[in-house]
Amino acid sequence: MVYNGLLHWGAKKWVEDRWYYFILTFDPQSEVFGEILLADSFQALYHPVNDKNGVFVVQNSTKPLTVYSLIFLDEGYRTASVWVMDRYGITESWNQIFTFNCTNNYISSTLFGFNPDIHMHVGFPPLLLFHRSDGTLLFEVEFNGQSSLRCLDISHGTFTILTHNIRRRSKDLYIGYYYPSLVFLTKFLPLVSVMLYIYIYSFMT
Amino acid sequence: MSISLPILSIDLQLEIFSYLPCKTIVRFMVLSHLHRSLLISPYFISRHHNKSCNKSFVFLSSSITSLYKDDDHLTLFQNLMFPFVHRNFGNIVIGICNGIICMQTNRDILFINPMIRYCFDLPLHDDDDEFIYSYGFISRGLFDYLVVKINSEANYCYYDSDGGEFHTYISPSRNAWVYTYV
Repeated sequence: MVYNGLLHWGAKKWVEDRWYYFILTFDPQSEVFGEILLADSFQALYHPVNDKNGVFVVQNSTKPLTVYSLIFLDEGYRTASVWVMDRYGITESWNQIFTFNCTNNYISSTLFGFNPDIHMHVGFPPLLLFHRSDGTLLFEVEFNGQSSLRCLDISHGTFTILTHNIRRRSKDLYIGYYYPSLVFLTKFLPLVSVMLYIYIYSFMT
Repeated sequence: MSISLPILSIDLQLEIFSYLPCKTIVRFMVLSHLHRSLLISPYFISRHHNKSCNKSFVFLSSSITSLYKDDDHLTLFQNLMFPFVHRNFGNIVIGICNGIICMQTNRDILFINPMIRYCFDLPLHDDDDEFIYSYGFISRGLFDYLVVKINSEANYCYYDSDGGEFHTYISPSRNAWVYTYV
């Protein structure tokens, strides 16, 4: 994930007796790696159960650095939290803006309380995909085997469905900003025959 | 070729072209030898890019790879046509920079510009596929791109007998692999 001109990955490392989450950065100009520490309350990971737990850096453009943490606690109980780093690079500025609490049977949240609308059976929390420039968060929510894209607006307290049935060919759904461009056009060659034709034509006239 | 161009300076023509969508530019490339060489020049590409920077679309990779307007309802804007559609992309998007989508397949890394239907690949060394790699894609300007590949370090692999899973420490300093495209 590119943010602030640097690449960011959610990463974990084994220090002494437990795993710690951190954010690995790479500066393309100096080609140097770095680390950003997380807030104390969510950087330590006692029992990594599988790859679905972890810390994910979320795609965004203008918003503060956003991280989604999926933490398995015990007996199928998980928390999924959205954290933003209000001042980039300042560990103290990590701020938890939203949390889902998930058990095997239901999801509740700090904003909505128990929400029967996103009740589910799989026990897996919604996946945060994108932090949009207007501040809303795009989640992929799985329910009854079908995925939908939902938009969470914390300031208005809404969690609306944008698209039903995102059927995925692979496990990874990617959302990002895209700007059409002509980059690589310099390498573009298949028009040679057309050009040749025009060239011959102009030669004859 | 009997269409006589109005007497506009080349610079004025390029200024007009720089406001046009990418697909139209590709069509204008056959206008003349001169136009082709001007339109594919790095100078024009960056001039065109600066004009189009404010148009943002949400790219969604699902069964149909689509562009959506970044509005309240994510209105569908355009479906992208990828070159080499017979290939299995694997659909793992590493990143998007300056209109270039960087994707990972099980054999290589692809760079795709769907607007001009151009694609080229970077072969991967599949010598140790049991390791988990993380990739990153970033630009250092319009004509300089980096792909960063981070190898998980074998020494730090941790085997969890309960879940039968490997857990890896991503090594920040060793085995990082940087590829530069200019």
